[in-house]
Order: sequence, then C-alpha cells, then structure tokens
Amino acid sequence: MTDDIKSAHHPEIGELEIAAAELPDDTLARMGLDAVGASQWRIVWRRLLRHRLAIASFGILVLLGVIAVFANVFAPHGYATQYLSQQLRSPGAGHWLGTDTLGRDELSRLIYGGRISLAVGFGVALSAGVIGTIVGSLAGFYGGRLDTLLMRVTDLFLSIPLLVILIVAATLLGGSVLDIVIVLSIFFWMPLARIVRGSFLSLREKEFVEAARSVGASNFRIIVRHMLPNAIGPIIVNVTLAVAEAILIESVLSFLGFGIQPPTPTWGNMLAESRDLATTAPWLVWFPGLCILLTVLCVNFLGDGLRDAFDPTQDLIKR
Amino acid sequence: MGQYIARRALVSIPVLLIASISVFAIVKATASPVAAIRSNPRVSQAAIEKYTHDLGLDKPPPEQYLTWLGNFIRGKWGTSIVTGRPVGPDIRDGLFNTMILGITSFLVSIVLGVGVGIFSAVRQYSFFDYLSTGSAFLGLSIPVFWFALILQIVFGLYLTNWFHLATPVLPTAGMFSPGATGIDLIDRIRHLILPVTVLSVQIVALYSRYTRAGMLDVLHSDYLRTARAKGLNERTVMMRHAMRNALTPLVSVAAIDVGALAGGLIVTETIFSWPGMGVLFISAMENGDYSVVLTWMMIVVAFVIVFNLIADILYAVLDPRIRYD
Amino acid sequence: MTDVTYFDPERDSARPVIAVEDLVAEFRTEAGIVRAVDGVSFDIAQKEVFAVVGESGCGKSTVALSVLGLLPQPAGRIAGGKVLFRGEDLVSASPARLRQVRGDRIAMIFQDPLSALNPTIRVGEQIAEVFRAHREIEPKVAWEQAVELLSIVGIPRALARAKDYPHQFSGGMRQRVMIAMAIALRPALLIADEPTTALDVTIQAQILEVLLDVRERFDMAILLITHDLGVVAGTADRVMVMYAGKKVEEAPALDLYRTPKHPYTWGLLGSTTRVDRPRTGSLPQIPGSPPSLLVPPPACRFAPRCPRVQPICRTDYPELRKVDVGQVAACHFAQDPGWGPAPEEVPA
Repeated sequence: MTDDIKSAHHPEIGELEIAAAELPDDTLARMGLDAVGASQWRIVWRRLLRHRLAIASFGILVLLGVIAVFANVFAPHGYATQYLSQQLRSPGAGHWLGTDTLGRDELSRLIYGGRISLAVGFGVALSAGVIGTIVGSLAGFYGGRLDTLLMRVTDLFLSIPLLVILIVAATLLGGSVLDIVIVLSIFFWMPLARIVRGSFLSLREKEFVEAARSVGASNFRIIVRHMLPNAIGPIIVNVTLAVAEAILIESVLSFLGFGIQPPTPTWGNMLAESRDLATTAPWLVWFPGLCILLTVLCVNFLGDGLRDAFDPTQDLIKR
Repeated sequence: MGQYIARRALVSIPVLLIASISVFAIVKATASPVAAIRSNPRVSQAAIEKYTHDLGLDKPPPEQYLTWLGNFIRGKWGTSIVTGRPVGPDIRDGLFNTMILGITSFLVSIVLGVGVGIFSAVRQYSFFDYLSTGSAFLGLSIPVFWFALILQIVFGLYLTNWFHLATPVLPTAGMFSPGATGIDLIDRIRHLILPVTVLSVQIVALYSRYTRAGMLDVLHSDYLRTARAKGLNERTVMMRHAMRNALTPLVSVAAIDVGALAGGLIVTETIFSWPGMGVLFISAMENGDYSVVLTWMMIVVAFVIVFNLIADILYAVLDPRIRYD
Repeated sequence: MTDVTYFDPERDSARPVIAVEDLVAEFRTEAGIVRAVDGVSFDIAQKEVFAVVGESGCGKSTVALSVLGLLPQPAGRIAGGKVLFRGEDLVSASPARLRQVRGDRIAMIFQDPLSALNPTIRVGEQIAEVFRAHREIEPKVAWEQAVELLSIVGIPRALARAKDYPHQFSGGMRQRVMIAMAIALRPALLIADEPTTALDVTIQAQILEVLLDVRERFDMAILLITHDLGVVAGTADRVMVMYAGKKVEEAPALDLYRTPKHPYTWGLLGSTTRVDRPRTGSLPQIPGSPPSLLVPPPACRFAPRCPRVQPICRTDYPELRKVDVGQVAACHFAQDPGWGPAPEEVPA
C-alpha cells in the first residue's frame, strides 16, 4: 500500500489525498480540497486561509505597516517635539502613553520608531533574501568550487556569535538606518543560501530539469523558470521569519548602543533610554517592548502558517 | 572510531587558523590599538611610539599577525591599554562568571525543554501540546533584553510596592550582595534566578520545539512500529527505541550551544550587571580596548570551534551510521 | 506466560489460525473520514500462505496492520468487525493482551527493512529483544538464540554479523534479519507486508524462498500482502484480491490464475511482472486510477474503470457470490457461464 509514496508520516493518508485529486471539481470544492490544475498559489493561499492565527497576524502586520508608512498622519505629536513642562508624564489624557524624560510624546515616538524598526526588518529580509537566493542557487546549480567556497565562508561566519560580529561591524560602519540595514544584510543571507542550495542540489537531478536542458534551455532560464519556482516555498518562509529576526537583532543592537543612534527613534533605542528610568517611569519600558513582541510574534505566526501552507505533509490530521 | 575523531580533530586546525586570521583582520579594521591613549593628553608622543613598537605595530600586518598569534598561543595576552591591567585574569574571571550563569541556565533549560518536548510529541494535539506550542512562540518572539527589564521592574518595583517590602523579593543585579564576604550559596542562587529565567525562556522554547519535532519523527518511524509489532512494552519502546534516537540530534545541538555560551550572553549580562564575558566585551568595544577585544574574540571563536568538534564526535558516538562512513 | 495460547494440534488443526470477520478500518484525514477497509472477511488455515493483492491504496496494508492493532495513531482506528486469533477477538483485546500476542504468536515483517530496523541498535540485540520481551531469559542466552536465528535465515558469519548495525547489511540481508526477528518465538502467523517490494528481482526470489522455508520448519501460516501477482504465483495457496477497501475476489491460487472472475483481477493479471521478463516500472496498466475512498462510487467500485461495465454496475452493489469451490467474486456477472477475460484482456 505504501509502494510509491513514502514522504508523508502517514503514507496511507498521503495516498488518499492523491486519490482525492482525481475527483470532479465540484465534489472537491465541497470537501475543501483542491482540484488538479489549480495553481500552486491558489492551493497555498487556501491552506493559509485555514490558518486563522496566521491570517490574523497578517492583518495586524498590515495595520502596523499602514500606521508606520503614514506615521505623520497617525502620530499626534512630532517624535522630537519636547514638551519641557510635561516631562515623564504617566499615560493619560493629552499624552495617551505618557512622555519621556525630555517631555516627548511616547505614542508618537513609538509610531515613528515603528516605521524605522519595520523598515529595517523588511529591508534586511528582502535584501538578504535576494542575496541568499542568488548565492544559494548559483552554488546549488553549479556546485564545485563555488559551492565549496560558499560553504566555507558560511562556516567561518557561523563560528563567530552573530551579535558579536554585528557589534563589531556596526562600529565600523556607523549608526544610520542604512548602515544598520547593510550590516544586518551582510550577515543574514547565509542560512537562506544554504537552504536554497540544498533544494537546488536535489532539484538538479529532477526529470523536468533534465527535460528543460534537453530542449536547449539556457542555464539562466532553467534556474529562473524551472528550479526557482519549485524552491519558492522555503524561500518565502525563510524571508518572512528573517523579518522577525532582523527586528529583534536591530532592537538589541540599538539597545546596547551599537545600532541606530538617537535622536532617530527605534523601539530598541527607546528601550535603551528607558533603562535607567525603569523604576520611575515603567511605562517607557512596557510600550516599546510590547510593540516589538507583538510585531515579532505576528511575523512568526505568519511564517509558521506559510510553512504549513507550503508543506502540507506536516499537517494532515484534522485538528 | 579513534580514527574518525583524529581525522575530525585535524580538520579543526586549519579552521582555527583561518578564523584567527579573520578575527585579527576584523579587530584591526575596527579598533586602532592606540586610539584610546592618543586622545589622552597626558600621554606623550614618545610613550605612544614606544607602545606601538612594543606591540609590533610598526611592522607589516602579516608579521604583526604572526607575532600576535605566537604570543596568543603561549598565553601572553598582553595588557589592556585602557585599564592597564593584564588581559588574562580579566578574561579568565569573565569566562568563569559567564559559565556559572550559562551552565546553570543550560541545565535548567535542557531538563525543561526535553521534558516539555517529549510530552508534547507523545500527546500530540492535546491541550498541553497547544499550550507548549503557544508558549514556545511567545518565548522565541520575546525580546530578551525587554523581558529582563520587565523582570527587573516586577521584582524590583511592583512586588516591593504591592507588598510593602523593605527589600526586593529577588536581587535584580550583580552576582552577590554588596559587602558580602566569602561565598554565601543562598545569596548566589538568589542572584542567579532572574538572569537564568531570562536565558532559559529562550532555550526552553527552542529545545522543546526541537525535541518535539525529533520525537514526532521517531514516533512515526517504521522502526517504532516494528518495536511495537515485536510486542515490547510501551516503556521499552519509548526509552530504548524512541527517546534515544529522538535526542541524538539535540545532544550535538546542545554541545554547539555550550560553545557559543562563551560569547553569547552579552545582553543578559549587561542588564543584570553580571561581570562575565559579555560585559567585558561591551566595555572593551566602547573604550576601543584593542588587546581585550582581540583576545576575547579569539577565545570565543576557539570555544565555538572546539565545541563544534565535540558535537560532531558526540554525534558519531551516538549514531553508528556516522562512524563507518 | 501461562495464558499465551499455544497451538494444540487436536483442538486447533481444524480451525483457522486467524479469522477476520467484516473488518472495517477508518482514517481521519483533513478532508474527512476515509474507510480504508470496508467489511472484509477471510480466514487462514494452519500452515497456509494466504496472499492479499491489490493496487497501492486498496487497503491491503491496513488489513495487515489491523490484525495486530498497529494502525497509525491517532488517525487510524478499527471501526468494526472482528479479528479472531484461535477464536479470541484481538480487536476487543486489552492492550496488554495484544502486546503478548504481538511478536510471540503473530509476528510481522515490513516492506522497507532499512527503515523498519532501528538504526542505532545492533541487529543481534534487536532480535534478542523479542525473547526478553516475552520470555524469562538470560541476556546471554537471548543473544545466542539471536545468532542462531540469523544463521537459520541464511546470514553467513552470523556470530560476527549479529554485532553489526542495520545500515551495514544489504537490502536482502536486512530483510532476512527482519524475518529472523519475526520467527524468533515460532509464531503461529507471520504477516509479511510487501516483503520483497523494496528488493531486486533476484533477491525477491531468495526472500520468498526463506519465507517458505521457515513456514515449513515452524508450521507457520503466512499472510502475504503484495501488489505483485508475480510474487503470489508459486508462493501462495489462496489469494484474496482487494479493490478500494473491498474484497472483490478470493480463490485458490491456481484457480485465480486459470479462471479469474472479477474484471479487476483480469487487469491485475495483465499487469503482472514476470520473473522471466524485465520489470517494466510501476504497476497499473489498468486504465484510470482507484477511486477516492472519501466519496466511493455508489455501487460497484470498479465500475468507472471496468471494461465490461453495464448499467446495473452503477446502480447495484455486487455482493460476493460463489463461483466455484473456494472461489468467490464480487461481480454481477461472475456466475455467468463463459464469463472471463477475452484474450486481449490478458496479454500472454
């Protein structure tokens, strides 16, 4: 019974899924299953929709994104405006989330800080995603010396703790937003490159790649049109999770004073400024941290939902 | 087996050498060895030149590197330009303190993480499984430094206020109470609780996921079905066939993580004023303390590489398939 | 271990070793509940080799796993029927009782011996474990027994090889190890789930040889699960053909080959691999593929693919009907005189 499908943990069920794919479309729609020929994206999207937590998280992230992009509309005050008579106000009317030691409005600073934190998170994830995909596909496609070199470089960087190397590199480059995005990107692409390399190594042997080659497709075309679409799931999941990681690491760097420098607010350096005020103005500690937690949690839930959606073998049994 | 270990150990030597070159190059690019004293008006130009000469900084970089490497291997780690103290004892103390914190957290986390992971896997889709999955997400998403600050607020401020205490329930900074003489074990443990909690939350989250995944793999494996088909009792099936194979990958992951401890507790140590490697590194970076940063990084990298080696060997010991390949 | 049922020739030789009655096994899936086995009955006599054949997904492996209560958890369960082992129902037996029977009275070997053996335990130890689980025995004696079993199944230098790990054996040798483990306690029934599918053709014959040999030696009955009628020929005494969770035909092996009565059986015979011919990839040369078990065809499940389909096949379910001594088939026309495959339906 398990002759041909060995992939799933429950081979029997794996087979039944396949068998179900042979049914007419209307039956399938009733069962919430996907018909043969439905595009991969539609399947993924439908699976994702069933992951309610991931969808809710996606919604929250979109909301946070909109608020960040239109920070000047949503923020009640400027992020640098100092209300000198209203220093260290606790949350209440006028300043909903209180003020800091310079009398700046905490809510406004959180909104503008969110803009920076999200920009860093997405900027790093995207650029690292592009670099990682390119390097990984080249190494996986061509193998040989390029592959060896890539793996050695990755090993080398992995032997120095990430935070340490980031602190050193950030010291070298400086503390602007762009500097930090560059520094993080340099060290964020490697895990993805490894994953892409891995899937390319196995895809290289697949029949459809052989077929494409036999009809004279160029290497570039084979990589972009035939192999990349088949490796897209892990890439998207990884890039998504990298957003969370980048936001966390940026906040740590800024917190330690090696990241984005004041007066530009980020959730991390706001926490750094609040550290000495923990006992007198605890709200300055609570809010930026909750913002980071909420964002990172949502990104992680979304990433998890995507992983399930792309790799259905992991989750076949009705919950 | 012995051959495998020897071969694997030999491979580590070039890795260490290449790592040392990179560390040297990176640190040299970051911090000027004399920047810290040049800005000090009371140090004469002649003194700076003497210092430069003593460190061999007037020679070409490859020669500097070789001089440094020779000194490093012989344990001559030099003197901090900023504090004037020898580097060796500072690093040794830092490493010792970091290990106290790190190893304690590690033991706590492994016991909790493995326990939670196994139980979640065996009771997959149970309430406990969902709870531990949710907690793991929270643990992996919470910013460590913020969690530490919150614990400080809760234990240093809220609890004290609510219950009108004279002193905080738990100390929120340092390794021992100020003015304490000798080693008071209870006092030490009380100081460990908050930083260990902060560190463990992350590690438990990670390891419980890891254990759960490994355990689920094994639970669905054909050989576990065989074990049941043989009529073994459930305890033998779990202990002999499932747990051992499920935990093998975790053992090597844990070994790698222990190596990373040497330089990995920067945030927790900073917040809880724990005088370990992390605090040493941050202050050295802030002061441009060249000799401390260089030695520190080399020690940390060596730890990582050596524990990677140990991880590989452990894996080979535990999984016979590796040995003969 | 006094309550273990041992074979008593006087009492038992007339009774079947195992009788499966109206077995129903279900899986919960994302899409709904699937009946992998739907009301299947059969019995196996002392020393008989009984084969269950069918395409992948027809429920034959589920039958095998159901006998020992080994359906994958938590998705699978036995939803009805009985599995009578020497008259005792194993479906309703306590877990402890089931454990006593497993490996002792009924043993099982699987398709892929590499994944079915624990990679981190020496093979001798994995065999010795069976003794220790069911008998009070010195570890040293258990080990010696394990070595002896290895030589019985034809593993050279058994004494040394017992200390090796599964990955150090070839595929055929690994399957011999599995057989050694299964026959350790001389079970009354050996379930072999696709025992040769993962092996080369030449090795397949050897493994079947070993199975028939141990059956002779220990008077075991064998439940042989396979998708390959070529394996059945020359091995099995009786054959049951399954399709989409149902039993569609059962006959003594020779009759099945000579006078197959169900059109699905004709198809299977047409696609049988022959030892004397090169293997031609995977099985089905029957047009179409098996139906979804989520929404099975309302009447005859083979109707959508049947070359001789009639209107009645789509409206009425064909009950099993007797066509000869020991032969039944679930086809409306099985009893029609002259009912059988046209020459082009069974390529020679």
